[in-house]
Amino acid sequence: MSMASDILDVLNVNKETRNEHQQKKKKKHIIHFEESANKRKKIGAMNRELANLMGPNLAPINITHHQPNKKFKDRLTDLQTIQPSWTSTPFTNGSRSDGLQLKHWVKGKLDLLESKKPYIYEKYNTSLDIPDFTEDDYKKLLKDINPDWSYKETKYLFDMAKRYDLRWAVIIDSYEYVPDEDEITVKKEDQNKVDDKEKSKDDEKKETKTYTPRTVEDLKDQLYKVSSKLLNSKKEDGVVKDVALIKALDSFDKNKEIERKKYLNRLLHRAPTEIAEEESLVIEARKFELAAKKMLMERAQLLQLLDSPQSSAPILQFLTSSGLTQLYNTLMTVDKSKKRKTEAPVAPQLGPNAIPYTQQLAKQQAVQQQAQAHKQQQQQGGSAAAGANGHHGDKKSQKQQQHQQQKPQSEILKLLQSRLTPEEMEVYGIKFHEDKVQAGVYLRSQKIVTFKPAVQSKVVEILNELGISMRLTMPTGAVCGKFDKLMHRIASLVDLKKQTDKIEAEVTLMKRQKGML
Amino acid sequence: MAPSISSKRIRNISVSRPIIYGNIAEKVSEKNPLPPSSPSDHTHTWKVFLADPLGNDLSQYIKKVVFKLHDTYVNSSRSIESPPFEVHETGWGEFEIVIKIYFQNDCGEKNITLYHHLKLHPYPTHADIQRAGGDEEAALRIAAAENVSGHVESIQYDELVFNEPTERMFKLLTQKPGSLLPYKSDKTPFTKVAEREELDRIDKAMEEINKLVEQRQIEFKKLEEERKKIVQL
Repeated sequence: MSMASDILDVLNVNKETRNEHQQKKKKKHIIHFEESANKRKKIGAMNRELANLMGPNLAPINITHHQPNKKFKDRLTDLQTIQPSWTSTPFTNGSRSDGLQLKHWVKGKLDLLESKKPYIYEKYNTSLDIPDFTEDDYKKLLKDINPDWSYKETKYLFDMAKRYDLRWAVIIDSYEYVPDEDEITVKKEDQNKVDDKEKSKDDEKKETKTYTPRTVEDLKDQLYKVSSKLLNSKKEDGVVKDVALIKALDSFDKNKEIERKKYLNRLLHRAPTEIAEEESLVIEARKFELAAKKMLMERAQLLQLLDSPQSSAPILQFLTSSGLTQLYNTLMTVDKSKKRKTEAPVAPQLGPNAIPYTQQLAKQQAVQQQAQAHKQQQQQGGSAAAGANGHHGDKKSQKQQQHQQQKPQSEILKLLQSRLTPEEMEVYGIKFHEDKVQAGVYLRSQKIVTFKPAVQSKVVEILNELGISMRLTMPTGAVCGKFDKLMHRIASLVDLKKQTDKIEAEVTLMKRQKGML
Repeated sequence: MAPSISSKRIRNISVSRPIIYGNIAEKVSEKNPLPPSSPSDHTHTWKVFLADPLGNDLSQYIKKVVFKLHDTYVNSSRSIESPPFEVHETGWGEFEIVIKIYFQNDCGEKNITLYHHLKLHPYPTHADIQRAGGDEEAALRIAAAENVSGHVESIQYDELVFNEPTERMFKLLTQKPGSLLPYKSDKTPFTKVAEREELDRIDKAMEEINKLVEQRQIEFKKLEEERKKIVQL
């Protein structure tokens, strides 16, 4: 099919060597090769045959335009028709002053091009709009701008500007004005009148008669001033557009320019040590700013804290043990987090006996400690002087009243502690408990433990088996406590059973999986 | 200064007071005639009450007790404000009575509610059920027949627990010792002996449960080990 392959066969070139060669190339251009292979599929039948005829290495040049929708035969006919003829036409460049006529090839037939269009590149020959002046103008207006400058030099400068399109770098480079003799002499006379403290260029002038080299600033200065004056003088029609330009020209200050360039130079030639120093200074300045800000904020917050009003919320809820512990806990968390905004919900006392916040905190902590202290006492066992039951009540109430003003709670506790034996406590039905309990009344039988319904039913079943009913005949403190424990035990038994069942199931499953090992 | 002392609560203390509540019912008979005001179809006279097991005065700390009877009764909400806290009535059917106990004002406690099922007919005992051959209604009839006197009681023992009582309350509660239950008594079934018995029963049950728990734990451990072994395989 492929001619190329036929030829190669004839020449006895092995496929392997050929492939080797191809593979070398392939390694470099793998992607391209594959892409082209993919693209080949899209080529039509006719083109495929063509490609096969031509061989694997196609010519890189695309000879025809890419007209995908047109058929090949149409394209062939097009080739014959779209054949432009070129003509060699003479032309003149309007920008030239000498009227040179040259010829160039232009696409298209002769006659159509008789229309004399201007040379296309003429429009690019622009020049700046630099004003002109005569000697008279100069003598009248412009002489006084700068006595150093002569008419000739100014004219020269303007010519240079026009020529080089106000590119100062070029102008200053090729500025070679040679002044006439009389100018220098004129200048010399002027210099004599001038103070001796003038710059050395005066001496230069006297001695060498060489022209003082003009700096860029000098040139700029002279040009701008002269143009500005000229533009101003042409203002008879009320020229508007140039007013901005005049303003811009007037704003040029020679000395400032010199200074600016000096600074720039210094900046560019800073030593790296200087750069580092500057940066560190900047950083320090910023740090100071931040510190100042922070201090202001802290001060503001402190003031806010001092000014904050004290709440007068009711404190009843904090008189119970649970409430108090809650309070204590909130205070502790507040202390730890040190948030100033969240004020602890402490209700300080208003009125004559009001004490400052911090003292109240201390007091609360003291009370807490007292409670803990008495707890220890209790654990050590209370001794008791046996007193008649009747007396008890009276004495106790007396003592209560006595110790009202001092911390009465702990006093009572201490009292009870000292006066009651455990038996008496039982008799009175008094019970100490350390942990916080919910304040209130309840019926003992109403507060027996219950669990989730599923568990509960099993527990009840077990109880029945054991011969105990849910309703106790004598729900005293001791009985209820024991009953509680029993219930919990039963619940844990039920739980245990559930877990063992689970594990058993797991084990059997695993055994089955592992093949009854 | 701070609010008055009486509403200050004593922390870490709870006081408990025993009470009994329930009802006694008697069948209407020659000895127990119906009072003239009650309708003739009432078969029983009964009283529901709330009392102290030792007969002490409950009004120390109880202000009033409200017994809410069945709606068919006139003035079904009976408020008793002085001891004895009881309601005498007649009727023919059993229903649930709501008992609300209100405490003295300066105690600062809320009221609490108890429920009691009014009992007029005697329970069938084991023997009765056996004789009836498992039939409930028959058993009931037999029990009724057995109960010659027609006197039925349903009384509950319970305890009121005051957590963190106010000082006033504390004073009231402790003026007299309330928890002195009789060790042995023929008058009430609520004695220390009964309490003892209950404790013993619970202890026994506890022992059994503990045994079972231990058994289960051993089983559990065995299974755990088995499982581990299998996992490692």
